[in-house]
Amino acid sequence: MFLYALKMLMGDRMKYLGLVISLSFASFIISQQGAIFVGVMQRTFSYISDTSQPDIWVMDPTVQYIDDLKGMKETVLYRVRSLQGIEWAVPLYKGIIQARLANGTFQTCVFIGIDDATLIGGPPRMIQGNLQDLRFPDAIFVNEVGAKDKLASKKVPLKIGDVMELNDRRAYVAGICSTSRTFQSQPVLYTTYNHATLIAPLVRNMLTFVLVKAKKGVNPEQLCQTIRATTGYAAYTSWGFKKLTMLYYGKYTGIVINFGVAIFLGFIIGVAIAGQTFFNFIVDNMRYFAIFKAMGATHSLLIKMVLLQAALVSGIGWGIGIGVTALFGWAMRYTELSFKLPWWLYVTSGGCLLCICLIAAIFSIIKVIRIDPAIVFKS
Amino acid sequence: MKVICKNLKKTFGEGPTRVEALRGIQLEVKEGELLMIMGPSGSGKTTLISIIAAILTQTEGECLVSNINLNHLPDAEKIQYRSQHIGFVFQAFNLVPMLTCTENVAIPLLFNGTTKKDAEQKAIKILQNLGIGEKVHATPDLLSGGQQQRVAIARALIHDPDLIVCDEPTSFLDHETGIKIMELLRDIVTKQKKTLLIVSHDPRITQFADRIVRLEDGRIIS
Repeated sequence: MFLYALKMLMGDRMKYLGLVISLSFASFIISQQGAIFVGVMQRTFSYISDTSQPDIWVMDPTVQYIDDLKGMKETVLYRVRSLQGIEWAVPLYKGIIQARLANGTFQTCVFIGIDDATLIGGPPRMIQGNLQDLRFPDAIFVNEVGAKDKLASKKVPLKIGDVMELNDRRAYVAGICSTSRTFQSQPVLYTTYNHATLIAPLVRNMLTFVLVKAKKGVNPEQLCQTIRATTGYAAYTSWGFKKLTMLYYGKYTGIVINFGVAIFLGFIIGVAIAGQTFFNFIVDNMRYFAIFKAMGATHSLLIKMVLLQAALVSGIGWGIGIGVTALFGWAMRYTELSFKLPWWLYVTSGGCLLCICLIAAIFSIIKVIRIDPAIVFKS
Repeated sequence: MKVICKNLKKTFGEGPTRVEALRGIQLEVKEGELLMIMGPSGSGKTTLISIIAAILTQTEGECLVSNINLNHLPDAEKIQYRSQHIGFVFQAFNLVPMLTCTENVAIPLLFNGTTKKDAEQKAIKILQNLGIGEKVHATPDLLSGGQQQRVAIARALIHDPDLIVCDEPTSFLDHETGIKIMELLRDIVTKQKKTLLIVSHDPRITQFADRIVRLEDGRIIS
C-alpha cells in the first residue's frame, strides 16, 4: 500500500512539482543562509583556526575577541612557562599597522609577530618562500589575498623581493602565504616577534598573546584554570577562544539576528507554502482516503501513508535544496563570499525540512482521521 | 450473508437541527438475495446501507449481519469486518485516478495483508474475468464509464466478500451500459451466492432484483 501512497503523491504532477519546488526553495534558503552565516562566523576567528599548534591562548583578562588587542607585560610569558604541565609557551604579537603603497596611499593591515626561535604561530601554508625566510633582516610574509588585491601596485601583485614601507620602516617581502579570509578582509602580514616590536606602533606592552602547548596527558581545560588562578590572566583553549569571539560578534554585531531572520523566513516560507501545498494535496485526496477507510484501512495504515508521503517530499526537497546550495558554494569558491557548509548544517536543514513536513503532515493526519467514511456515498 | 435489521433508528444532529433519517426499519435480507432499496432523495437509503456496511452506527435498534450484532463490535473489529466481508460499488466509481486498474482492484486485498504481487495477480485475473483484461495497466481516466464501473465491481469482489453494497451503480451510465452492469451483478449473485444490496433511483433496473424495498421519510413503505 505504501508504494500506492507514493504513486498517489506523484500522480498529480503539477501539485507534486509545486510541493517539491517549494520545499527545495525552503531548503535552499535555510542551508544557503546558514552556510553564509557559518562562513561569516568562521572568519571572525580565522586566525585562531590558522594557528593550530597551541592548545591554549593566554591574554589580558579584559579581551573579548581575537581582534580585541590588549598588551601584557613580557613577564607573563615567563610566569606561564614556569607552570607545571606546560610543554612550551611562546609570545605572539598581533596588531594593526599602516602599510604605505607605491601610489602613496595607505592600507591598514593585520600585523602578526611570531616567536623568533620556533616560528610557532606562523601562516598555515606558504605559497612562495619558506617559513625560515622570516628570519631574514626586515623580512615579512604577505598573505596571498592581500598581495594580489589591496597591496598590489597597479594590479601587479606583490612578490618576493618587493620592498614596502610599514610604519615608516622598510620591510622586505620574503614570502607569500595562504591564510583564511579574515572578518574585515584586511591583508595579513607576518614577521618575527622581535621584528614586530621594532616596526609596530609603540605601546607600553607589546605582548598580545602567549601561545601554550599542554604536556601530553594534561587536560587543556584544567591547565587553563591553573593559568588563570596563578597568573590572573585569561586563558582559553583554542575552541574556547573561538567561542568567546563568536559570542562577541553574535552579541554586538547583530549578525545572528540578521541571518536568523533570513533562516527563520526560509522556515516560514516552507511551512506556509510547502506545508499548505501538502495539506491541499491531502485535502484533494480526502475522498480516496475516505474510500480506503470505508474499505477497511486502519487509521494506523493511513497515518503511515501520509507520513511516508511527507517524508518523501521532504527528502527530495531537502536533497535538491542542499544540492543547489552546495553548487552555489562551489561556484562562489573564489569570490569574497563567506561560505561554509559543514555536515551539521546538512543535518540541521534536513531537520528543518522534516519539521515543515511533519507540521503539514500532522494537520493532514488530523483531517484524515476525522474524515467520515460515509462521504463515499455522496456523489 | 444474512442481514437482519430490527427497529433501526438513526438521527443526525440535535435540537432544532435534528433529522430522523431512519424511523424504525424492520428488514431481513436472505443469503444470496439481490435486494434493491428504492426511494426518493432523503428517504434514508444511503443511511441504511451505511449502517449495514458498519460505516455508520445506528441510534437505536439492532443490525445483525450473519448473527453478529454490529453495534457490539469495537471500532477495530468494524474495520476488520468491512475489509473482510463487505464489497463496495459506488455511484461515481471512486477509483483512484493515479493508480492503474490492477492497482485499484488490488487495494482491498492489501488491506487484508495479501502481498502486492499476489494481490495484483489476482486483480488481473478478476479484471480478465469481467471482460476488461486489456485495460489492466490503464489508469481510470482512459476508460469509459462502463469499464470504470466494471473495475469498481472487480474491486468489490476481489476479496471474496459475503455482502456487496452498491450505491446507485447505474446512475452515471447510459441505459445500455447500465443494463450490462446489472446483468453482471445479477450473474454474480446467481453464480457466487453473494448477498447484494443496491440503492437506486433507476426504475429501468428493477427487473434484476429478487425483492424491492421502498423507503420514504426513513420508513419502509412497501
